[in-house]
Amino acid sequence: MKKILIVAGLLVAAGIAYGLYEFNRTGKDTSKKASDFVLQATALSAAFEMDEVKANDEYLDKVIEVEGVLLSQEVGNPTILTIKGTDMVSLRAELTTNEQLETKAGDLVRLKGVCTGLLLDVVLTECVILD
Amino acid sequence: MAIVLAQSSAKAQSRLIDRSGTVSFYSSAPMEDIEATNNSALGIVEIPSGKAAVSILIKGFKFEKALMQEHFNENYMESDKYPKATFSGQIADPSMLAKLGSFQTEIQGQMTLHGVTKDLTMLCQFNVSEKEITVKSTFNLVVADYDIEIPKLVRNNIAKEVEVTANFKFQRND
Repeated sequence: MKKILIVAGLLVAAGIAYGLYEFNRTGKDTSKKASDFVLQATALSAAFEMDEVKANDEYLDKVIEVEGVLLSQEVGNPTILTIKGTDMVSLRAELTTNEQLETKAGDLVRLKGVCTGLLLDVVLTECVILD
Repeated sequence: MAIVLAQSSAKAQSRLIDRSGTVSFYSSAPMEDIEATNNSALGIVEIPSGKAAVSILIKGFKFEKALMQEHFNENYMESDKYPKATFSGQIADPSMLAKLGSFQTEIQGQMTLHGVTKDLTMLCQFNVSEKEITVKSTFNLVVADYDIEIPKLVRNNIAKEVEVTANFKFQRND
């Protein structure tokens, strides 16, 4: 009987600990997440421009690694990069920091972020710059 | 709606666009306050007509706690099914946009959220300078108006109304 009580107590304690962990869990650092897709910024933009519904099904909430030409950066909280996509749809990448990148407009940039969908641009959030 | 306003052509109108609008919401509840921010809200104002539009990606709202963000997207907002919230409206007194300074006026229009469209009037604070126009508004949304179901188990811990704050900064090109 004593053993059963101890096991039950341990199970309850483990349940409470897991509940607290889940309740207080913060978002995982994007750099530690595996990429679901690796593609060029132009290809991602073209996918949304051609068929937004289909692209949402494929890319929404996915971790995407993209490479593209930096058009501009808006230093703020967070810093936001605009990356060349198609003529109509660019890529907008919200970094996780407010840093100013040394990368200049016209340079190639490679980053990883979570796709949240299309407004005028395809939006990636929680982005980290890759070497 | 915002996209349509952005791409429609009207020679005499000047269209100001902010792709970096901030929209946040706050709800005070017995168990815990809930707060989230979206830094990529799209805002468009047309001058001199005073037409205004906002479009937001629901998955762009960031919470401090991952579990809250997951519940918000999966259980309440169903953001895979309804990925955007949109507002389209008319500034009550657009003539004020032609003058430099601060003023308050209402924007009346329709908000579509969670697939439900409702009339919405919000009081906005405008600040007009030669270089930019800033707009700030704080208003309340009733969760049930947009058919957002809160599970019984947590109903008492989630507020029936949320306070929404929106900030936009439009660089002038008119």
